[in-house]
Amino acid sequence: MNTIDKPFLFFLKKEKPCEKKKNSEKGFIFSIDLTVSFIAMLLMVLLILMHAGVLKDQQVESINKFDLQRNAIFLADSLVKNNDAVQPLLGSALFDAEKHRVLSNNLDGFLLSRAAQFEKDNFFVSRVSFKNEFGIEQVFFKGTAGSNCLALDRVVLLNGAKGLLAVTVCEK
Amino acid sequence: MGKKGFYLSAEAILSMALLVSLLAFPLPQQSSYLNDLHVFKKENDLLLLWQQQGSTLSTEQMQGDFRFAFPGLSGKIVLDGIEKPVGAGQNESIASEIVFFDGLMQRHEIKLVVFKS
Repeated sequence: MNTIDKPFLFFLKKEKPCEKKKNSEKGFIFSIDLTVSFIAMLLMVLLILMHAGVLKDQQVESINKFDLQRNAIFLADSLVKNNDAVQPLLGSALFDAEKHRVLSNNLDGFLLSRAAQFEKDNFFVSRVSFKNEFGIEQVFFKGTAGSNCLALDRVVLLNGAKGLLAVTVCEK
Repeated sequence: MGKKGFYLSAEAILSMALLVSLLAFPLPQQSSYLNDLHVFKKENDLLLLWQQQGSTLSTEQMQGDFRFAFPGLSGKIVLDGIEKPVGAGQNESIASEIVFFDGLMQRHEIKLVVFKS
């Protein structure tokens, strides 16, 4: 069986007397080199933080724009592909009762003219209009004007006439 | 190092490369994807309308419809293998295709290509 000569006695060891330091001066020596490098490092950190701030702003703006564009695209899609008698801005396509199906891209002008204000989360519909092949425009819905808006169009048949349906969506 | 000049250590080069890469970090571009989606949906709108017209379709009328739906953009319409360009061609494009049968049960195929501006 092994025995331990001096167990746990290291803390009883006597400390050696302090060696005499070569540099006799006390305190923190701040050289010019160190000062310059310190300032350079601080400037670098400032630059990185400023850049991160600009990136964040751009990202927020980009996400808001993306969100609005996505909402506008899918709202216009819903408008031309669905039939909603309660909220015509969510669907104004003709409904073929005989075939039991909605006729995509064939709009019902009477239903669309009954469109009421529609808003959701962070956007609202500002304007819906139809322009036929001869450039004659008919406004079906005009709501309140917004500050940051986006307009897009879809190709539709309105009461049998070919034209572009323009939907304007704004941020709240 | 007896020579005069400006010395950069390996750590300094590494940290500078890291800083440059951080500053040059690109932002993701999302709007382009949605623009393409919108063009694609408009293409499908046109194809649906042309499909409803069936056998009365003509390439001249289709070219007119294309200019009306996509003002300022160029593209290509292929009706039953007959190709009709609209404007000058580009490299990048968004394409859509439809196959349908008209009232006389004749098979038709329309391909619509929109070039990105």
